[in-house]
Amino acid sequence: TSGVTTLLTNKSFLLPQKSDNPQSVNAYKKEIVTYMKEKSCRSNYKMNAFQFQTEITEKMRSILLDWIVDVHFKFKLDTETLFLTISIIDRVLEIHQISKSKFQLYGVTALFIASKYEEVYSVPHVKDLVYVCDNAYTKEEILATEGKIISLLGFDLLTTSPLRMLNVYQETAKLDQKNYMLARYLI
Amino acid sequence: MQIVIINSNATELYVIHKILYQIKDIIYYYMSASENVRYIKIQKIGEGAYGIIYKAQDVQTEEIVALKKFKLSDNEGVPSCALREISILNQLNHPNIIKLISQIIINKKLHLVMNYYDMDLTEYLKFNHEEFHLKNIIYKILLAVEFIHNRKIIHRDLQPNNILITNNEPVLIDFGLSRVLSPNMTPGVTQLWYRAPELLSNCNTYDYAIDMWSLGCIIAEIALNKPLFMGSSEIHQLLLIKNIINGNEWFLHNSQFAKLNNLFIDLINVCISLEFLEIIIS
Repeated sequence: TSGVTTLLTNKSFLLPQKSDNPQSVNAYKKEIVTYMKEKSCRSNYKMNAFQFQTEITEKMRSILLDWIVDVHFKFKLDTETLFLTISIIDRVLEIHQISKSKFQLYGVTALFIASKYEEVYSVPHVKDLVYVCDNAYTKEEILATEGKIISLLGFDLLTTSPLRMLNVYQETAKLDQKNYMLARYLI
Repeated sequence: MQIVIINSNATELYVIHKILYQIKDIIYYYMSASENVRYIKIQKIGEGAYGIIYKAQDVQTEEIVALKKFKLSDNEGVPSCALREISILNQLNHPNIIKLISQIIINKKLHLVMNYYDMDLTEYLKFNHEEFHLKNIIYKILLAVEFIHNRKIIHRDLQPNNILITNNEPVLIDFGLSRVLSPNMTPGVTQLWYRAPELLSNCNTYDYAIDMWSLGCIIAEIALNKPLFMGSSEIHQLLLIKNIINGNEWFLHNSQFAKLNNLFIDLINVCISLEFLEIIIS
């Protein structure tokens, strides 16, 4: 139960307030929501990625994501970073053949890129990432893969995460704290 | 290749010039083929914490472009400001926002290729211009900022040096500090003179208002032909803001605003709104 209470007292899990929160930028809401919908159509997850991949299976993806969630929790990163990481991994899986031994390398590098893009202070260092991989890969390998992923995606990192969409919807639907937590758990 | 000129007279020099001019393309071609050089650096324009900006020429189209070189560190790979700038610039397609032509890697260093403009707003304001042009510039800047705000992006570094002017049309540049709006951000952004009071008091949950504050300062600078607040430190800047803006009718007591049109003052007043400051003080 201690885990649940820390979750509940964590500030980022609180319901975003509507009236006194200047960050909800109500004046621009209509245009922002239109743009977010347009973006999210483009970044939809395609099911044919695993028919395209020869070595990677759906089960391996879920194991990798479990591990990423662990690492993400250890580094105390933002939730937004996790969604961006998953989006990067999925998009790379769609367009690039990855071998079984290199899959974790791609995962950890995606986390590295996402945290560089999204985080304010707590960007993990490369040597820490090498450590969490149990020294399976070297620093140079991570940096090389970073360049590869970025050029594969063509620097397209601006995506709409499910979390951002939920925050928009909850303001229109006027969810209370309990239902908001349930929705966050579901995504 | 060595060229020694003995007994040089005008005709010989002319011939040599002509030959050199003819083989110029061949030299460029070999350079681009051997070293994969498409852009030749002409001169350095500016330097910042992120890297260096060069003026360069495209060998293939002979176009003048600006090259922005990022420092790549061995330890951390691509810097986060480069990641943000490229991914944001790729999304923005607007006549008053700079276009990213391509990004290339020369000597293992990341370069951004962008259009080159030779004048920024500070230099532009040193000459006298018609009121019509100035109004047009203000309007276009506001349009560009609205465009990026509609995409949930904050620029965070609006200042006259980051607004380039070509044919009396403004172009917004330098998205190295901009990012998507998020609940937690660092307060150390924007140049001091254009920094909003919430940033000066170290607040990390700000929003578009910081861009609007910078815009208000820029518009006032266009009108008065000198920066509105010229602080030397963060405390000094806050004091200046407090001295000039005192109450809702602050511009009535200030002689330098007397010659300005009322509509103009309204615009500045809306941008430099003090709502946030009151929240902080209370």
